[in-house]
Amino acid sequence: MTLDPQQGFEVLFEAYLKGELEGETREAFELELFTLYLDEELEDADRARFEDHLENHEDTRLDFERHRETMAAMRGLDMKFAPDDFLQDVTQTINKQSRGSFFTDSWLFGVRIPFEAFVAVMLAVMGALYLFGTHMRASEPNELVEVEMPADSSLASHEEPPRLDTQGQSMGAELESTTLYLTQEAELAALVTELRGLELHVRPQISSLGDALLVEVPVERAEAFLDAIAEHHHQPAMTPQQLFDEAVQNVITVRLIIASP
Amino acid sequence: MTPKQEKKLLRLLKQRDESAFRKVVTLYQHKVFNLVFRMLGDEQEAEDVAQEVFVSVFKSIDSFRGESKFSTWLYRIATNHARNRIKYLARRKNRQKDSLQDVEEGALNNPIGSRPVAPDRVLMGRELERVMQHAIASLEEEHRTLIVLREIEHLSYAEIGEITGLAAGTVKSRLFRARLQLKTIVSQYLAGERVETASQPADGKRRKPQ
Repeated sequence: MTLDPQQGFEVLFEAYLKGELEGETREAFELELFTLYLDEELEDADRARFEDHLENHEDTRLDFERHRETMAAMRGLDMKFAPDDFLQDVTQTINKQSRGSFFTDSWLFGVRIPFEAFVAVMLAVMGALYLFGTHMRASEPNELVEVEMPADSSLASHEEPPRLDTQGQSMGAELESTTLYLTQEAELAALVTELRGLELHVRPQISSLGDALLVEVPVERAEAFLDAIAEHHHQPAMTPQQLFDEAVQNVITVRLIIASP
Repeated sequence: MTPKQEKKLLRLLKQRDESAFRKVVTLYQHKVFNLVFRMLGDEQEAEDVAQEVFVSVFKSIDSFRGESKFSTWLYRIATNHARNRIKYLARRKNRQKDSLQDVEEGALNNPIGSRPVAPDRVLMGRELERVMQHAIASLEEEHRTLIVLREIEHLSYAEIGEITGLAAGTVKSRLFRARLQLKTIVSQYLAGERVETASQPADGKRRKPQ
C-alpha cells in the first residue's frame, strides 16, 4: 500500500497496525505516526492503540525509542549564546555603515530630526538673522546714544571734582547723574565734532559691556560741554529697556569724565 | 514583553532611538544567534549573520507594519539571512571542490565526520550534539530551516508558516520530509561511525564492538 494523503490517516493507521504497510510506505507512515504521538496530536483512542501496538512489537518500539532519542537530542541541543561584545559590535557596524548618522538623540518629544533638515533649518535661521540685521541698520536712522551726565548742571562749581585714572574711570565721589538720549547718528557725529572743537578730549571705548564715548571735561569747560550736549538732547520715545531690546548693538554710551584742572 | 511595551519599543525604534536599539539587541541577540548558528553550524558565520540580521532590522524597521509579532518578523529576517548564507557557502564549497581536489575536502564536507566517537558518557553527549549539528547541516536548506524552527526553536506550525511564508499544511508536509531526511542522515552517520570507530579507533587501539 502506498502512502497517499488522500487516503486519510485512519485507513493508513489501520493498515499499519495490521502489518499491511511495507517498505518505504511503512517507514514514512511510521515516522508521521511517531511525530504525531510525540507532538501529542493523536486522538486518545489512536494514542491508546499505538501504545498497545508498541508494547506488542519490539522492533517498532526500538525504532520509536531511537526516533524519540534523536528528536530529544535535537530539542535538547544547548542554547548557543551570542558573544559578550555582540551588542557593541552591532552598534559599531551600524554607526560605521551609516557614518554615525543612524541614531539620533531624543529631541523635541522624540521626533527624529534628519541631519539634512537640521542643517537646512540652521542655514535658514542664520540667513534670516543676517537679513534682519541688515534691514535694521538700513531702516533705523537713529544711533542711540546714552549719555550719563550729572544732574547738577552747576557742575562747573563742583568743589571737589573727581580725579580720573588712566582708564578714564572716575575717582573720588560718585556723581549723581541723569540719563539723556541722543537718537540721531548724525547728531552723535556733530556732538563729537563740537566737543573736539571745545578742545575736549573724546575717545571711544570698546568693551564687552558696550561701546562708549569717553569725554574728558575739565571743570572750567563743563558749562560749555553741557550747552553742547543740550543741543543734541532728545527725549526717547521708548524706555531704555525697550531701546535695549530693539537695538542692543546700536546703543552707544557717552560717559562724562570730569577731569581736574 | 507585553504588546503595549512592544508597541512603545517599536515606536522608539522607528525614531532611531539608540537605547531602544540596544534593548532589542539585548532581548533577542541570543535567540537570533542560536537560530542562525543551528542553521549554519559555524560560530563565526553565525556571528556575522546575526549582526547582519540586526543591521537589516534597523534599516528596514520602517517597513514593519505590526501585522505580525515583532519576534516573528525578526525570525523571518534571520532565517532569510541564514538561508542566503547557506546558499553562498554551498556555492563557495562547490568552487573549492572544483579547484581543490585535496585530502582536506572530506573535512570540509563533513567537519565532524573524522572525529572519533568518545568512549565516556559525558563526551557521548557532546558527540551526540556534533552528530545532530552535522545532520542538520546536511539537510537541504529549506528542510534545515523548518527543522530548526520547529525542533530547536519550538515554534508552532502557524508561526513557522508566518516566518517562511508557507501554508500550515505545507509546513507540516515539508517537515515530514525533513524529518525523514534527518532520520536517514542520522542513521547513516551513526552506522558509519560505528564501523569507523570499530575499525579505526583514534588512539590506535582496538575497542570491543558496542
